[in-house]
Amino acid sequence: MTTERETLNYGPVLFHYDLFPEKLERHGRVMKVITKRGTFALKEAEMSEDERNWFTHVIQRLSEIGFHQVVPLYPTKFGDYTVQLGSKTYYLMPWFASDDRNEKGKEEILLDQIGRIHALTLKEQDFSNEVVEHSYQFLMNRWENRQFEMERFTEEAEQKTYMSPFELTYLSHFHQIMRMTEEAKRRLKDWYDTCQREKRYRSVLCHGKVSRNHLIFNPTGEGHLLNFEKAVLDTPVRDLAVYFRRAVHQREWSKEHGKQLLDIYEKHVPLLNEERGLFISYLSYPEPVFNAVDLYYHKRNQLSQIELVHRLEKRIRAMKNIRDFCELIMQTPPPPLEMGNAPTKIHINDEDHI
Amino acid sequence: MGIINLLENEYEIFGARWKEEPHVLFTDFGEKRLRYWSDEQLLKWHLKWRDESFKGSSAVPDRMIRTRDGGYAVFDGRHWVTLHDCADTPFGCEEVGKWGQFIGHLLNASVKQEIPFPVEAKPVLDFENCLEKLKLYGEGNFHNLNVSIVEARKRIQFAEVLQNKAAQTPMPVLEKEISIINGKRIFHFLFYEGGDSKPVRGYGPIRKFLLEWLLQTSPLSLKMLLDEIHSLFSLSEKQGLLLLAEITMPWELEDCVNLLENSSLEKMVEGMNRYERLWEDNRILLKTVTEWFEDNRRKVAL
Repeated sequence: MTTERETLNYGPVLFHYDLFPEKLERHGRVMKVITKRGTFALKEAEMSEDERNWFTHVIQRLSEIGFHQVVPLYPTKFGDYTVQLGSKTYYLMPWFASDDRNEKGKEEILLDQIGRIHALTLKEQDFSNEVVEHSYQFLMNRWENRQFEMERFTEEAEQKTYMSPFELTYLSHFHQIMRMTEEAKRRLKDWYDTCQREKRYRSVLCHGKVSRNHLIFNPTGEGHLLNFEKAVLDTPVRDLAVYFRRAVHQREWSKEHGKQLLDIYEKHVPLLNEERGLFISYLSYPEPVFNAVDLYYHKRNQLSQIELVHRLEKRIRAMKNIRDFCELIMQTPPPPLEMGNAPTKIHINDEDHI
Repeated sequence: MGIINLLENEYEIFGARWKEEPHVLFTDFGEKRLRYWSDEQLLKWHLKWRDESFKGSSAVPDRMIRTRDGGYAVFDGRHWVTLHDCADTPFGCEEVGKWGQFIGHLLNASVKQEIPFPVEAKPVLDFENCLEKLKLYGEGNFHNLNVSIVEARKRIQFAEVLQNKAAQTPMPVLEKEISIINGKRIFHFLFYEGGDSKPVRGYGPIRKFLLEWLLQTSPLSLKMLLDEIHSLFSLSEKQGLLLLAEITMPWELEDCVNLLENSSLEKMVEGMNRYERLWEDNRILLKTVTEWFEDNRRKVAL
């Protein structure tokens, strides 16, 4: 039930919508607001002014360019799309109740919609050596620094007479992890060389946090994307890498299903060779494993050894899934572009670019 | 079509009926205030300061509620009509931080007003006229009157020096009256009910607000209010000089003179008592604000 305190806390936000809640229910960072005028989802986020402006621009722009499968934002009574209170930003959307019947085929719909957004916003960028150089150097430096940290962790572990179970597990996979790191770096270098040679690279509007949790279904069963707070203009590979890195952890994951999902995406935006290489590079870099080591390093007193080892093993298994998936997508060509789904233009024009 | 029908068609409001015809309505979404504007440019100026001063602020001015189509007003054939929220509970002066935020954001918005509007000319203190009127009292040999004239002369000179130092600095353009009584409480935030008057250039409305604050609270609270304003709108540079110049200028001399009546000795004494109170209140304001600037200067120097 809604307490008076909750009403007081959310009252100043809901005032902007002239909503008087009968009941408030917290669902993570979303508050379900039940009123006489209907049920709404109030999302709480942390965004700077620029981020807020960009976020609302993205939502409006997607509608303008013909992508309507986005959960709409309701304007306040003053015509704003977000409400800023202190350090928090709030925005209001319709509440779509979850329906298990829609869960099947959710991944396919998600990849299809991401592909459509990418196709609608795809733009071949004017080549800028500075941008490519900066992106490459920045990522390469970050990866090498991380690699160096992991090598140091390995050396320290090897010097111990009695290694912890976590350290033992890590060391037994160390060479495999380093091979993947080197593979990621090599493919990143290949991408850089191709960009330099071909003088091209493409950008799209990336959702930024592609996840099955960010696809919900309206009462008629039509999928809608939400949470564009981290949307950014970047290589199409960014969204794919974010999605597949997460997807390989799922129990029902198979490389064949992964390939099918990538094919669904590529019906809208077939990846260029260098983008495919960059995609494999992003996926191969074992950042999740390194993060597990960081967690061990900083929180070994708070979490049990068994928990930490399980977490590491899970990530190593996911890396193996990634390796198999990468091998498969390197072998098989992408599906032919369906004319019905083909982007009719690379972009509306420079000024219209989202 | 009546105004209520017009509003129900244009805005998403239902069940509207008058509470105070033709200014306040009951609706299904609470009470709403109507404002009528014959000058669209003035309306746009008021729209802008309300929208701009709200950005980033926890205080909410009575912004124009948008129509279904996103418009800020409807035309009833004679006037532009705007719809606003309405509240009754006074906010009071206890929450200095919230008032300071409101004034700070208001000043930020008002120095960069982009809507051109012919503001009323900044008033000039007519010292000679005041002296002329006070001659009538010269024979009464009122000590305080003589002292205040000497003091006023010095303050004018000092205010002019400050103004010259900040010459060419953009002055805020503000509503004529900014008052504590316009601050209302909705939940726990400050809801400020603005007006519809022609704007004025300069710190006059802020001077009057600070005096009102001082009279309702204390010099310490006034300094806290200035701290809060300063955290959002820097008073350590030229805007601060302009504010100090405004407070140093003995505007109250005119007000005091206007309080005097010479119809009878009794009325003269009564007027003089009011004069003394007003003069003293303004002296405390000037002293407190000067101390605040001095403390602030020292903090920066450290």
